[in-house]
Amino acid sequence: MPIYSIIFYLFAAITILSAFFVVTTRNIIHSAYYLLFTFFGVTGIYVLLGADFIAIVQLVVYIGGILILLLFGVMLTNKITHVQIKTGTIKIVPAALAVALFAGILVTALLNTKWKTINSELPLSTTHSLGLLLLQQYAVAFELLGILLLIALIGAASMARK
Amino acid sequence: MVLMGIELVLNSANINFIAFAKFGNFGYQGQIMALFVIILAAAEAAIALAIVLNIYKNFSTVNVDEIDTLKD
Repeated sequence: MPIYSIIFYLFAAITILSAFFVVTTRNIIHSAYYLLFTFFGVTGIYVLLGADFIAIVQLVVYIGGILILLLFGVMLTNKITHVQIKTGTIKIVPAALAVALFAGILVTALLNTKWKTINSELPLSTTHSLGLLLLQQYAVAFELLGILLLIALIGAASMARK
Repeated sequence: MVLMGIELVLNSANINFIAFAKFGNFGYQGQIMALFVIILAAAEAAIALAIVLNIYKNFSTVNVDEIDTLKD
């Protein structure tokens, strides 16, 4: 289907370009805003893959929670009087070699495995099935994650006060 | 800056999980795993930001290259 491919390539291009600019721009506040566009692109990819509940969770938790927290951290620790210079101690040639090696291994592994794919059916709403799975098979992990979030909350609050 | 890189890595692994949940033979387990990864990333971002605020209070910079008092 050509429309599906066009929309997928559009979201993939948004994600990859924004992620590239997150790590290469000099201003850290611009970097946080490019991260926002990356998260939007990732949400679009999730919707195209049929994961509607996870896409909305990504919007609410990642953009509405983690990104706002990151922006708080950036604004509170930014010196307004002078421009932040990015780190200049990058050795380009060994980094490029390592990245090219890793990417080559990944692409070779991708193209040479025989993927078993199933026939894609019509996308259903996944919320009901995910809720059933969470409370029947993965109930222990669910409760443990609740306890972990409580511990993280208490730890972060007690670390960040005077 | 380092935190944003960590979020990028976690998001890319998440896309992989959900792609396998759609095209593989695993049911909805990939999406459950992606949900758990999102929750863990949120907890870890909160604690990492508390650490960053403490670093800023002690060193008055967040550039990790300038924090080298343990180096000889």
